[in-house]
Amino acid sequence: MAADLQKVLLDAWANGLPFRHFPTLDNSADGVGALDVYLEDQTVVVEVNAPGITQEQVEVELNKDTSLLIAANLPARDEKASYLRRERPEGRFERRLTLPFPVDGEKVQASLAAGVLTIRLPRLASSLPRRIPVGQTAQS
Amino acid sequence: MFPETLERGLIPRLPAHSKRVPRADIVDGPNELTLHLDVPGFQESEIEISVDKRVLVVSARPGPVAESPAERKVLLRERARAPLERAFKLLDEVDAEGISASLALGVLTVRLPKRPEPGVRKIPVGLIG
Repeated sequence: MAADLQKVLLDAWANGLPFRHFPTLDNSADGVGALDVYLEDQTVVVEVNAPGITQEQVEVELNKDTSLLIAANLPARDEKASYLRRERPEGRFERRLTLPFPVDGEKVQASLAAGVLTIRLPRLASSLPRRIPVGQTAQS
Repeated sequence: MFPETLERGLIPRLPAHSKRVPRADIVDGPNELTLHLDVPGFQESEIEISVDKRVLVVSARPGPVAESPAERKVLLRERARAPLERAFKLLDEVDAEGISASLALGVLTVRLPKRPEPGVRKIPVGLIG
C-alpha cells in the first residue's frame, strides 16, 4: 500500500514537471509475487518471484488440498535512511491459487533460491484417475 | 539507452523499451550510495555491471534454460525470463574505482563509495546558549 501511494505521488510529481518520462517499471513482468504455474505429469509446480525474502518471511499454506496461499512480508525499509529512489515494493503480498486437482499436503515441497520460491505439489493418490477394467461377458 | 542520473530531484530519462527495467532503491549514506535492484532468478554469472564515461550499467541476461521437462505444461506464466537493464549516471562524488557488488536472495546490491570532496570542509554547527 505504501508503494502504491508512493507511485501515485511520484507520478503526480513527474506530471507536474517538464520531464514526463519515467522508466517503465513493469509490475507484472518481474514483480514480487509474479508467478508461473506448470503441470509436470501429476505434479503442480509453482514458481514465485520473491526477491529479498527469506525463508522466515514466506508463508505457504494449503487448504482443503486444492487451495494454495502464498504470502510474504517484505523486508522493512530503514526509515531513517535517505532514499534517492524507492521503487521496490514494501508491505505484504498474498497470492491464492486454486489447484487443478487435490494435492498431497504431506508431499508438498517448497524451496527458496536466488529470490525465487519453488513449490512442488504432487497429486493426491486417491484423486488420480483410475482405470476401470472393462470386462467381457463370457459368451457361451 | 539513456542513463538516469543519481542527482537528487532529477527525473530519470526514458530507457529503451526492448529490455525490462528492474526496480531500484538507492540509499544515500554518508560515505556511499547503495543501490538495490530486484533480479529474482538471475545467477551471478548472468549479471554484468560496467562503468563507462561515468555511467553505471547493470544488465542481467537469462542463461539457457537448463532443464525443460518434456511433459511440462504451462498453466500460468507471469514471470518474464527476459533481459533486464538499467543505467545510472554517477554523481561526481562517486568513486568509480571503488564500486563493488554482491548478489543475495535475488537482490543485487551495488555499493558506490563517495570520494571525499577536496577543499570542502564540513563545519559543525553548534548551538549558542
